[in-house]
Amino acid sequence: MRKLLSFLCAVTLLATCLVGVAAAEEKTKVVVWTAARADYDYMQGVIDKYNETNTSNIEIVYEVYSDNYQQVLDLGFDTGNGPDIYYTAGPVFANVSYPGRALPLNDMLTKEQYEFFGGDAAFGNTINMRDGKILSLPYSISTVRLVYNQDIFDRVGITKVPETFEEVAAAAKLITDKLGAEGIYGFAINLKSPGSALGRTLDYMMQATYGLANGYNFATGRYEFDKVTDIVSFLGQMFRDGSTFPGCDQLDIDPLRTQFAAGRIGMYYSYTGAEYGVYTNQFPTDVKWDFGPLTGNGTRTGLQGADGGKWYSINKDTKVPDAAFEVLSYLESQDVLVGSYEQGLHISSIDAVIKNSEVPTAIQKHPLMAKQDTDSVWPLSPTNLVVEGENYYNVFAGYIMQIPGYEDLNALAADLNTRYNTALDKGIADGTVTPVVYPNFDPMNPTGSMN
Amino acid sequence: MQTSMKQNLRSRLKAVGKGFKENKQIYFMIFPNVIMFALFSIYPICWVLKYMFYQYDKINAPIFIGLDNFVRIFTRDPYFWKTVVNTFYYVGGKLIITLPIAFVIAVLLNKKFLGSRLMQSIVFMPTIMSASVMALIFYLILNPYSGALNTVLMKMKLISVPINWLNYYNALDTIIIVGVWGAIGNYMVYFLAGLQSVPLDIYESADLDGIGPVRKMFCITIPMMTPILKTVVMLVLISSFQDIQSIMVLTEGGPNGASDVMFLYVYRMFFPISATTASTSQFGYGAALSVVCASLIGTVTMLYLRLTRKVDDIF
Repeated sequence: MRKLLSFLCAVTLLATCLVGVAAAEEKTKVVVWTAARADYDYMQGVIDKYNETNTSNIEIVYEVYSDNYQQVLDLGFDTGNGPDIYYTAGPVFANVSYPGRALPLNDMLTKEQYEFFGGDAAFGNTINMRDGKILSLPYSISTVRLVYNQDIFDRVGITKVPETFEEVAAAAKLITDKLGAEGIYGFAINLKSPGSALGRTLDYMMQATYGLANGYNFATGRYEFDKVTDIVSFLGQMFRDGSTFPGCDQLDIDPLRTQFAAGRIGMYYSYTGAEYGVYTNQFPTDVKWDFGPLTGNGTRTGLQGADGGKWYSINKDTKVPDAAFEVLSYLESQDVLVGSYEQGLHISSIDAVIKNSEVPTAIQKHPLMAKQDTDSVWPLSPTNLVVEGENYYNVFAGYIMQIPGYEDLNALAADLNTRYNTALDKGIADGTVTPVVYPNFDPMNPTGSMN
Repeated sequence: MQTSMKQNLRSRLKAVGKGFKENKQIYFMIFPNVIMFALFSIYPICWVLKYMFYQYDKINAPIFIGLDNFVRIFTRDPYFWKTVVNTFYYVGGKLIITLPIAFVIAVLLNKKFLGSRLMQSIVFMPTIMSASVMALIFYLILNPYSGALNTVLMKMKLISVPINWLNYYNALDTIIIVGVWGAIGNYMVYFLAGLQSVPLDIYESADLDGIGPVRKMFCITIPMMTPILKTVVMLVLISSFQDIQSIMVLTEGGPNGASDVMFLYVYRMFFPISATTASTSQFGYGAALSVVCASLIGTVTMLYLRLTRKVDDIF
């Protein structure tokens, strides 16, 4: 009996030790979701390094999603399987973090970190905060420029980078007329997702040319799509001229980039923060390409919008908030950000990072990648709007692609004004939309004139 | 009186208890399915039936709006009805093309010849492929700038300029072809099973009467296949109404709704497809749309069952 008891005690002790060892070895997993593909190699490298060297027993699980990122994120949140940390670039901040799914960082952020990111000047309502709560940290600034193939320009004799609607349309036509037989076309746009295509063209042109954010006038508090018809008309002109790459109506941005990398597209519009990484890592190319200025009608009314001031948010329902903040602090540490900036994988908006970095080769090669005086972060236009019928991206894409029923641009714009303003009024009335009106809003100083 | 009622109730309860005891294995086996059914079917249906009367975006609290979602569907949302027309065009097109091809292939492969099993496997293969992967492969074949189909047609001098198979005018027809390609193998198997169940002695009698192969096909094979044809048509109808994966990958319903179908539209109300633009979920409106879509499919199914009731009377 005594032997049996001793044996049982020994087994229990051994099992307890084994469980203890296993528990000690089990790492705290912090899941990070991103939609950025261009900096994948770099980020995976810094994450692998962190996973090997950190002393907090944390393991970062880094997952990259494609064009359906917002959808996957929504599904993750709705089913309680969301990540601990998520990428907020593009509309994700407005759709996910701002409405209340991000963990406020005010209490976690140290004073040193706050100053590192730029202090009060780097944080603002609707940019990376809501009602004084910091929901994301500054990282990069990215805006849209014309991306052009210099080799093609040289072949057809274009010596000056086109800047106005007429010049871009004429250049696209010239390229297609001269090189179309070789399968080289003047212009391309990724209209498979009208939101993605016009979000990187029309939206930025509306800000710079007419001082409107997504068609919304902050001073009057109304949607004014009728003002921007010349921009839509310019994009449609290139389709009517036959200057566009075949199949633009079913082109995603990455297939478009592969064709640009193959030297078959003269011009398209895309982000300063992405394209260098794309053509260095994702689709390496020998094509000589560069950025040109965003196209306008020759008159500037506002600063060009720039996506910036935010990068990652922490899920407010994360079970490991401290570990998640430690990971966020690592991802936004000076070493990680300097490395990424110097490799041209993002355009830093943080002065401390810029000061401590060599001027990136990317910016030396493509000066317009850097933030210009005419670029600025803009406040958000009203969020959570429920517009009945098609959104303005689909409607204007219909006109651009000459779809039957979308021929009368002025009527389309008038209908959009009616539907968007009705949705705005209804949302404000039932309390689902917060009114956003800045009576003294100056598009040439968008962040400074928010009050 | 009360005593007799009590006794009656007691004896009834006893009977139920006895019945349960006798069939406890059956109840025990059914129980998990009942729970699953309640969780994954009854609960979502109740959820939809509640929220169809609300404006709900999952961020703000739901707002009761009565029948406004239905008023919007029937009076203020022409785009939805465009997707309904597209859906019926797609279902009709897929049905009309799939059935004869699957039947002819089944008849051909029903004959034993060297490699007939291999051929059956090859024809069946698209069925086991993921619809999304299939759509991606078709994009590589059909895209107008480097697609294999245009390249082959141009090399054969059949066309001089690439055809945009996925533009506004062609997208839906192309999607039907992709759907047909993925479905033929599946329905061929049903037809093969049907063909093999036709008694051989009928054909032998026909042979003795000197009836030719074409007449045998129309007077024996097809009539004998009618019950299975009824089932196959039903399966094609139901599966076609639900086809959204390949459309989502291939065209996302575009250009400008040219290939959009009603369930993809409903899906977008719950999960707006957008990587770069601000978008708001409309759960309440999506719930109302689901009910309308389900009613439309229910009506089609009922009409079909009524029309084919005669078949049941004959066979």
